[in-house]
Amino acid sequence: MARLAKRTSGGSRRPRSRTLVRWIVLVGVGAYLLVPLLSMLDFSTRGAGSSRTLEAWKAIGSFPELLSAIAVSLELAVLTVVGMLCLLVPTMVWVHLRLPGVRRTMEFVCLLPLTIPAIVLVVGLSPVFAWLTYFFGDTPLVLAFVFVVLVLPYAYRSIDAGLRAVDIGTLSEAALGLGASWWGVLFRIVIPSIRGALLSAAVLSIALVMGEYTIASLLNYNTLQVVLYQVGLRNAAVSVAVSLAALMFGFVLLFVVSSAGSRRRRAAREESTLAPLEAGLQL
Amino acid sequence: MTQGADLGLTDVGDWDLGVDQSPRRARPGGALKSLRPTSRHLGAVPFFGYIAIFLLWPTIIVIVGAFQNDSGQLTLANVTTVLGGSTYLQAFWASIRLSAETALAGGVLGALLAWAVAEGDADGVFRRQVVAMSGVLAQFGGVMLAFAFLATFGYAGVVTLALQRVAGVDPLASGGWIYSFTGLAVVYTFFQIPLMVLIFLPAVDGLQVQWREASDNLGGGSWAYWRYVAGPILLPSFVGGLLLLFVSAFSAYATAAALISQGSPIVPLQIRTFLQSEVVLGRANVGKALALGMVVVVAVVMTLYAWLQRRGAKWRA
Amino acid sequence: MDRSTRSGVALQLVDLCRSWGATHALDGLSLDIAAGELVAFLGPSGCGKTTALRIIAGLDEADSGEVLVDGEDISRVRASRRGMGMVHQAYSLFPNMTARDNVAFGLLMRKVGKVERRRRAKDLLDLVGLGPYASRYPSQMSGGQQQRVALARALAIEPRVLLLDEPLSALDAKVRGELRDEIRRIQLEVGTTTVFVTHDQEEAFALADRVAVMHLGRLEQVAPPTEIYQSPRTAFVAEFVGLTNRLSGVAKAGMVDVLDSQVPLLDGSAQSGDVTVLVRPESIQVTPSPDGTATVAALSFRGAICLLRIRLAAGNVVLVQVPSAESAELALGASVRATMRPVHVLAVTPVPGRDERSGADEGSADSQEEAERQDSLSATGRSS
Repeated sequence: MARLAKRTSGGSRRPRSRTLVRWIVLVGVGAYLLVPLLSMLDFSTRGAGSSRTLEAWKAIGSFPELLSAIAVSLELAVLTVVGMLCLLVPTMVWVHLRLPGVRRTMEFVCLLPLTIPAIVLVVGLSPVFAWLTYFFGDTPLVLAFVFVVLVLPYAYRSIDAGLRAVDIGTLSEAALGLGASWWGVLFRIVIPSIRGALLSAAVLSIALVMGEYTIASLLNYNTLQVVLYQVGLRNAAVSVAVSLAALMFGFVLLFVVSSAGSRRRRAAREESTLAPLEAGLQL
Repeated sequence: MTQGADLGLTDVGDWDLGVDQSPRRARPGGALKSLRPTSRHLGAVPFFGYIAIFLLWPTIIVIVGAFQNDSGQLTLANVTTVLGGSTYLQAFWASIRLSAETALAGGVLGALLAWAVAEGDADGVFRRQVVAMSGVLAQFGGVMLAFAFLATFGYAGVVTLALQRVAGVDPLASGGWIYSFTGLAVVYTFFQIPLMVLIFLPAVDGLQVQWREASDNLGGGSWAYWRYVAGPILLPSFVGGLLLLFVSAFSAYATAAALISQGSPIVPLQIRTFLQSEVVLGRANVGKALALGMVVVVAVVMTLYAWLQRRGAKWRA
Repeated sequence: MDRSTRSGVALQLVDLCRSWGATHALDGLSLDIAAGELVAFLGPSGCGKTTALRIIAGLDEADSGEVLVDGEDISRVRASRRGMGMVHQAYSLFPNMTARDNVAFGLLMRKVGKVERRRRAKDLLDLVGLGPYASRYPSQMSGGQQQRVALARALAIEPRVLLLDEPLSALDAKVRGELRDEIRRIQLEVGTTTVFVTHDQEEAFALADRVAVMHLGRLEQVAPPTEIYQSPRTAFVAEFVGLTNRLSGVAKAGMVDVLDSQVPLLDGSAQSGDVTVLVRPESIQVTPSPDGTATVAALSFRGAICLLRIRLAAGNVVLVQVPSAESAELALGASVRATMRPVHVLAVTPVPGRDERSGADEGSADSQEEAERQDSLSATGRSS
């Protein structure tokens, strides 16, 4: 039971009543969350009679539109992560070091996408996309431009947590004093120090992009979620299977990222990924 | 000097490595702050420029468009249509009710779960599993949750079938409750709980174990501790969490869109009809007015949230 | 200090044991604390002192053994019913309450009326010198002030026993010293039986009636501070408290030959044969002498005293403390004669490996190593 070890100081025992309540909550609420996931597993493995079969899972391959949609979404995820990093990291570092007065504004701006829901944004996006398709053609990858905006709140919080954990100011001054250029400071000093936060921001962005439906569907692009829905109208089991797979993939991704930071944190006093991850996941 | 020029963003003509040769410029913060104001600010231009194009421009289109008619003239017709139309008002009311109820349900259950998780090892496997799972369920996507919901409560869903076989009860006998308001509430709560866990967990972490011990030693039991110490301390974060949950539910589109293909009980789905169906002449911009309405509601709640954050509590540092 | 006028109750710890897996946090701890006495639990981290305190408080349960308060076994009594006041090292106060409300909390739990609560809280805040701060929140107070309020809060319930868990460790050095004296003054005035846990020997000596030195869950020695310092019972006590040199000597019939002198042995020493003698720096006498076999390897003037590193004939280096008045003719490199002052010393059987290094030899590399070892000796005496 070490992994459910209690958080008390000096290792004292907790009264039995509290443990009982804790277990009731964990089981009760946990059930509410786990039952649907287990149902997905059951639903997607139903065979004739009451047998289990992996047919739905195997059939995934026979939906070419699904496979290409997965590819599109993955590409979009990568583009979004790249775009987010290029846009946010230099700016945040610059603001952190040289423009502290702008920080408040930037924080506010990065919270705006939460106040301007995707459904609202998409209403006004047509002119923007008209320009984008004019420049880039009719590829769904132009969605990346908007997705970068959507991931801003989570990415910002995550990277901000990382920047706060390390004294970037002192490190940069030291580096500059030793003759480094600004780019050198950015790439050699700052980025290695906030690796965990960057990883968290990237993972959160990937999760969001893979799960984005609103803008893609209303602008008629075929990303994973859009195609998933369309396939679901014809073959529910396959869609449920893919959904379950995607959820599990996301879970493994987030879990591995949080563990990677945690283990190192125990060994040395490096920045962790768990804290920025948790920071980024809160709104 | 070459440093700034490398960055390509600023004119750093008179910046030198912090060796302050001019007696007038001896300011605290030294090297990093001795650029002229204007050139420094250029560094933030790419970011704000990007935001202007991809966030502010569409938003302005929506806001301005809400007050325009088909030929672009300013008018209040769209707004009055929305405010006067019973379907629209009902949709707003339904959205607000749905968001409030699921925020409360998800908030309470999520807070309880957060407490239960926080009681364990802060670095442990269990906690990381819960955080990861919460992140996935809260953020990952509405369509997949809709499928999860259908797999559980739909016509061939696990729970539906189980109830039919075991208890002889058919919950879908009188129509599909899953496609009604109740159904939406159940599935929304499904992502509200993990979201609350993520928001509230840091607050629960902040409860120092010494406070519980001090309360115990001074003669207080569990009830006294929660009533006088932990409750008041957690209250601001809890209420803040509820507000965020409200916004999250109010803005949600994907889950509802995946579940409900016909009809538009809530505002986001109403907007969908304007984007997808043939638009009746003269009412093209009503959709924008609806969107503006959403922005107003969300803005009000977020302002409340921001005020709550800033005010903190009088005992906060 | 007239014990008879003190209130407070007697506290008895009987054979307390507590372990987690293979670690023995407490290994048969037994101790009698008289009414009104202040006993300091002193030891390095992991020695069990905090565990013992928490068991007394009821925040933790011993695997076996009893805790008796005023003769009554309270091992089964819940923490909230034990009537003990506790001050934590950090985060002691409830952040959402004013100082007054914090202090009055215990009274609120005991259903005392509002007027009476306010009055008592005011009296106690005055006692700790924070009367004007009654309406302040913890976030508006310094660390030292917060700990004072925590003390007032613990005293508000008129506890039978007062428990202090390293209350000064998180404070600045200057504040620590002032608050330490305050705590002692208040404790004497109120007369509550008090247990004070610390890893700082200076704190323990300044505050306590008796000091209980603990190591690996066991009580090494419990005695008044002077006795702990001058007559340590075990090697651990001798080395943990103050600075200690390890010298080789030969013991016989209650005396030991060390540093060309013969001095009496303390109780508990190894009685015969080759022994390691534990000698305090101020117990060594250094006289300049042209034909002396020892030399001054380093010299550090500290004001009232002078710290010297003396290299002996055998090659090992010892730390010596002399009053500055006696150090006039001692210069770096001078030849000196090192002898023992007439004090009682503790001798233990030599530990192979540990003591061999003191016999090892010359070169600056070795004196460097020796210097580092002596530094670590000074370190263990200070903190842990």
